[in-house]
Amino acid sequence: MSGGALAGHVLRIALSGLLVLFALALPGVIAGSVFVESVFAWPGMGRAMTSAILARDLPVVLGATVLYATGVIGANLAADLLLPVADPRLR
Amino acid sequence: MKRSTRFAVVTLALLAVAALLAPLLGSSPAAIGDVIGGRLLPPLARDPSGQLHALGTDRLGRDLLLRTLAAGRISLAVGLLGALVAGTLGVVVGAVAGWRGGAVDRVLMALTDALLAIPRLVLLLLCVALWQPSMTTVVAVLAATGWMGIARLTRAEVVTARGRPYVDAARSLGARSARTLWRHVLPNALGPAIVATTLGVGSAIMLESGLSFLGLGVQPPAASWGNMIAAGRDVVVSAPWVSLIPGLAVVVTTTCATVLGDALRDRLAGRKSVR
Repeated sequence: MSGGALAGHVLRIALSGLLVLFALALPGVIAGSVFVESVFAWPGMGRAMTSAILARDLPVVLGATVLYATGVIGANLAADLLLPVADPRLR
Repeated sequence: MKRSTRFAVVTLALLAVAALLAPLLGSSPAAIGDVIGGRLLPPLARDPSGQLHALGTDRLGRDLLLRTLAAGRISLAVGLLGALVAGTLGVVVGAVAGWRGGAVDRVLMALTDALLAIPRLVLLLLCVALWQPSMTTVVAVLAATGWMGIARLTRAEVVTARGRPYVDAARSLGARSARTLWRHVLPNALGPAIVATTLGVGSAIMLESGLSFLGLGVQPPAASWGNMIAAGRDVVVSAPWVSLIPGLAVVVTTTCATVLGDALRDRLAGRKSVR
């Protein structure tokens, strides 16, 4: 099989499973940045959230939670919308 | 039994026994340590009183082997309890939703899906923000954030089992609805939930360490692997063993729990995909 056929036909179909997995894994990875941000003192959202918890600043905690949840739903939606593009059988 | 499974079972059993026996050694001089001369000793070093420290000491001169085992007591208990309570809750919610159907099903599954939209770590942090950090809080929070996947798995199994002929048979023989669910449907629907709960033990231990690492879980002076890693963070360049040893304990325990869960999956769920 030529390289072009492999990339155009095989890889494209194999991509769909990867796409779903990626969408499911992405939020966990983003949420995991809480630890990285606290270790290296990066001023990110995870660090904002942990410092808000320690200061018992609940509105900030709730706001960050909603933002994270929006990220998850956005990632899932993007995967659902991209899936038919990657695999026309699902259209 | 595969060799890796046997290895995982033996390692977990050894860890559990060692953690359970740790308090017997807890009041010995090794646990208290020589505070003045015995701080941050490397593994296999002797402190000025001649006491051997197999894994070295931390910044307060406490023996790291004993402290890691004492922390294992809390970490293993929290992980096991958290995963078990989450599994039970998930099975109850999933079974009721799948068995009842209709409006009950829709409401419970909407709640499940809504909670699934928030990453588990963020949900954990949110729950911790609402209550004072302690061991009980961590278990409650792990249970409250871990049941959703298991509820969905159980619901799917119950819905397929509900249509089987033996359910009709039980019903036509006059068995009450609750008895049919408990005696006939649940035993056939439990496989994937058991596997997911076993796999959940590893992630519960990881999350507990993570929370304690951030200072939001088990509070010092009580030891947990997470707060031991956090305590060694400042000296990680000059005395890396202080955080490496509890870190290694977390890695070994979660790996063994995952291997065990995979082996259970092969046996119980017939290689179905479990998330």
